[in-house]
Amino acid sequence: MNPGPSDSGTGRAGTDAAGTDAAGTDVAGTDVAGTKAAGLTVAGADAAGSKTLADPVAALSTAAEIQPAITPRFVDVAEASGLRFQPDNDVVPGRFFLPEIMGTGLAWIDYDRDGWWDLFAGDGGPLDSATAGEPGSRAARQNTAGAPVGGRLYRNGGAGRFSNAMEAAGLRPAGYHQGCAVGDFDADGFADLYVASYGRDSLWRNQGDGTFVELPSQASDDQWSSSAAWFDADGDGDLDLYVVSYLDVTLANSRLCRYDGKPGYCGPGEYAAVPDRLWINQGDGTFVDRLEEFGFSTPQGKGLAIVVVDLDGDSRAEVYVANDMDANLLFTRSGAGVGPAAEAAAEAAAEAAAGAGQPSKLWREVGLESGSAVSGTGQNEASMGIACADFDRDRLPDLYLTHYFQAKNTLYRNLGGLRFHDDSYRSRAAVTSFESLGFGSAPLDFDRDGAADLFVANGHVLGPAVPPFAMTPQLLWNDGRGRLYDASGSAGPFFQEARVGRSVAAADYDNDGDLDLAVSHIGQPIALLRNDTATRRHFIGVELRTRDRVPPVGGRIDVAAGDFRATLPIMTGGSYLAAADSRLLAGIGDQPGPVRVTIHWPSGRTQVCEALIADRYWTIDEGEAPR
Amino acid sequence: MSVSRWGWRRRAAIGLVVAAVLGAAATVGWFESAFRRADRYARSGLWPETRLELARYLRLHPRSDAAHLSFAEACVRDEDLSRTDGIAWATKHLEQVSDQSPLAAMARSQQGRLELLLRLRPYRAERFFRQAITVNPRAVDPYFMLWKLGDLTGRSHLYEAEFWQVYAASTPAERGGRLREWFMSQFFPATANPELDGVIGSLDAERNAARTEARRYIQFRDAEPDGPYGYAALGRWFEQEGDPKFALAMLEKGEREAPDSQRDPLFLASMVNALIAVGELERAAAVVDRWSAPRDGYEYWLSVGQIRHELRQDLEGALEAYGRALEFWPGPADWRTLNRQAACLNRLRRVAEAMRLRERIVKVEALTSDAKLRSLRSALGAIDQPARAGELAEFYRELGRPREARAWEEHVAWLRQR
Repeated sequence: MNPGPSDSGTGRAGTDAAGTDAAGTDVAGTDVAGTKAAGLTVAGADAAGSKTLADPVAALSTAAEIQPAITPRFVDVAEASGLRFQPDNDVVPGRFFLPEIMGTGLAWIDYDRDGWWDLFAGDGGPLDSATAGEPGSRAARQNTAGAPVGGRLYRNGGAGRFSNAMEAAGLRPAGYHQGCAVGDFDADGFADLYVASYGRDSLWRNQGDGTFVELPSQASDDQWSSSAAWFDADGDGDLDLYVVSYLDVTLANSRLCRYDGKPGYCGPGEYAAVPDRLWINQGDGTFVDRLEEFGFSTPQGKGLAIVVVDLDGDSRAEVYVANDMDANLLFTRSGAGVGPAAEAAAEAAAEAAAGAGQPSKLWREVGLESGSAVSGTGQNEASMGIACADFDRDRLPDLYLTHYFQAKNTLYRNLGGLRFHDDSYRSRAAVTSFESLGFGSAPLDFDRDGAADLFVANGHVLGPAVPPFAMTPQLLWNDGRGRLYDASGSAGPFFQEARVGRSVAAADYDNDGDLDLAVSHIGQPIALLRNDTATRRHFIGVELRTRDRVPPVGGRIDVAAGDFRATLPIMTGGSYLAAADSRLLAGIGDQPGPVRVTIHWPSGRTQVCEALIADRYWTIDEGEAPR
Repeated sequence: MSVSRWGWRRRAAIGLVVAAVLGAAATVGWFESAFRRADRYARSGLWPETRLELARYLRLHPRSDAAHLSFAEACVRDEDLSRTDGIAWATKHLEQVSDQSPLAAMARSQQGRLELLLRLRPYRAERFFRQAITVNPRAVDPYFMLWKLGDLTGRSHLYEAEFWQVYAASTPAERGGRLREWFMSQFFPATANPELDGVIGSLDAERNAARTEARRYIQFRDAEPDGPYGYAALGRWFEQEGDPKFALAMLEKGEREAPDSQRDPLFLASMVNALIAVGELERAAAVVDRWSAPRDGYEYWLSVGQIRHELRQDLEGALEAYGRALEFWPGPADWRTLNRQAACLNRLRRVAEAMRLRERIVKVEALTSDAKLRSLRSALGAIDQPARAGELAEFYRELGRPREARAWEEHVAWLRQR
């Protein structure tokens, strides 16, 4: 857990990376940069060595990268589709105010229920004293002076064309937008939108007529919220909201850091964390924060991402929060320990407590004991984004975390029973990530072989003066055994250009049975990567609704076609500052169907849908026939 | 007349002989005294004169080991000589001292110093230091230099025994300083020896520790491309800097060019780490399987543990191997390996043991935190104060290093006695 510089475990002078010079005096501010820059300098200073060693390195890279049989193809069609939007990050040269470098979020939402997924793209805006002052002043000013209008709601016209419907929809989210969460909190059949912000968050109720209305001062605070997710935390059938919070950074306490003498943004180590929120839906359109009461009370993490997904196969969702340089958090509805027995005992204890009029701490944090909080060697990693999928095809959802430059991304392989193994090396999550700093990441099966591949948006955070800043995104191909190979080289021109990538949200916006990607950047327009991968393989898509008329969170679907088997978790959240298409999409290889889909609903019900035709989407309401 | 003429001639001849004998004696005496003059010159730093006098002395005493040692010293120090000539001449003279000589240990040690600090060939240097110990196990300098060689080549954790030899040979007044240096070796090895970095020429102008360290390793690799130490150190450096591909390429080059690489535990362990990092676990396992360095010690058992853990999923076996690795320095401070053990215990559902171990890990993390180590470095600046020296004793006791703790306690007692 100690991310500190002491590298005594290896006998190497890791402590020196802390910026301690030979004489024992501090080289203030050069810790990170000193180390990183040293690596670069060495390459330069070691001209002869680099020259002779460059070739074997290149040879190794190319030799090791096995390529997929089906060539991926992604084309940025943003401009051609009418998506012409570059968020205003308000990057002021020389200011190095951290929020401006963290990017803005994206959310796919079929707000008009026409079957074509629309896109909300968050915006930044001026980070002046009104938005970046002390928390109290922020809230007051924005509430009285009115919120700045920002972002775009792109309505999907269905023919590959989008139009800006922001004004028509009456959507005016306040603050400097961060993550977005889509969920039908009032169960009226229309997806609502929550926009987390640096500044005041806002909750927008979908009125069902193509417009939204803000619920004033509900589920909102003015601290730096990053990502959010809707799920039923209290088991009452409606959706509650978990809001992940990041750092206490204001213009007043903002700091400048130097990296090898060059100015840059300070990292999370320079600022305090702010607590997450659990907004419990009261059922009447009001919300109350009950984080601690429900057992989500933990040492504060510097959170950036969240996924809500059933990780132990009991159909009830766990909550996984990715923290930047703090241990990640895994909340489960269990008491002492992990596993079914412990969970049952905890349930009983919680019920007993409730009966006695005591607060029922239904959820418990089990990150460390589960093995999913820190790296295999106990290090807090700089977790930015999460991709959750069954990468090794053992029917259990695994967790892929994006991390810092020259550090590995981590793949926590799910061993069952809420046990995880840091499998980053075997899975090649490590070797494919050392040269980049990952943010948003989305699992997608571009070759429809049933094994989740990955898209990762990359880009550094220290600023343009501290290279590398812009980085190429990656498409990682899964060889079917949970080993990832970089297939970016053949995926299209988008993957050849370095950008400062941030949020990634996946959706099948053109309903052609493969996932497309929206990607936000710093200083560049958002991209819409249409998945044009040519394959004759088949798919099946499923849209699920619970008896409460809301999309389920938790449980899973098992897909079977011939000898093909796949399991997809029913989840929400993931990536970074993003909300994805909530439909489940399974590649089923060469099997043309029919397909059997077994749904393990969060309610505990198992529903088997036989003989479904492949290559189309099905809508399945809990307990009813697919249509 | 003839008699007197004969007498004159005879006297003249005798005079000449006497003069010649006296001259010769004077010359011999002068040559004999050359060593003393050389010593005087040396004390004044007059190295060309020193060499001249020693050369004279060696004409009379070509097998004088003391003269050869002094000559070597003068060659190295004489700035009038080119570096190449100085090293070559010094080497030639040191080679004249046979292993049977009472000065053999010193000569071999000097050869080692020359290899390490001037030729920048640590692998060869180590051989000379080991040879010095073989010819005289009671010699201290080779142990001292091996300890420093460990610091300079990123392998200080493999030289604990050498440190304790030096410590044992030190006077009570010296021991505090030794312990201070040992702390630096344990926790700040890359910057433990700025003066040696200055000699080597690797000290970064901005005193950036990482750059100094990397530059030194590069110098070693370039100067000794057929030795494993430079590759091993650089391989580990790059791997820990997040560039395992480059580290692996470096190590593969070392594997080809340094025949003894397969006998170096750090080289092999660096190779295992780099291979694991790039996802080549089967290859890493093959390195462990054919491990031809001694199959013991921190690096070996840690490598074995990782393969059992990451590849074989043999958690019991991994636990055992990690446990054996932790018996060696830096085991007690190695929270990474302790965390690996905790992960194994969790997966084996030995939850209570894992929780206990995590408590230990939290303590170790705190003890080896940046703040704590900085505070101790500050205490190292005042080790003549019993209270500050006592902080070190306490630190080692808490860390589970009783030997260092006892040594610091003895130092505190000595300070109080004094």
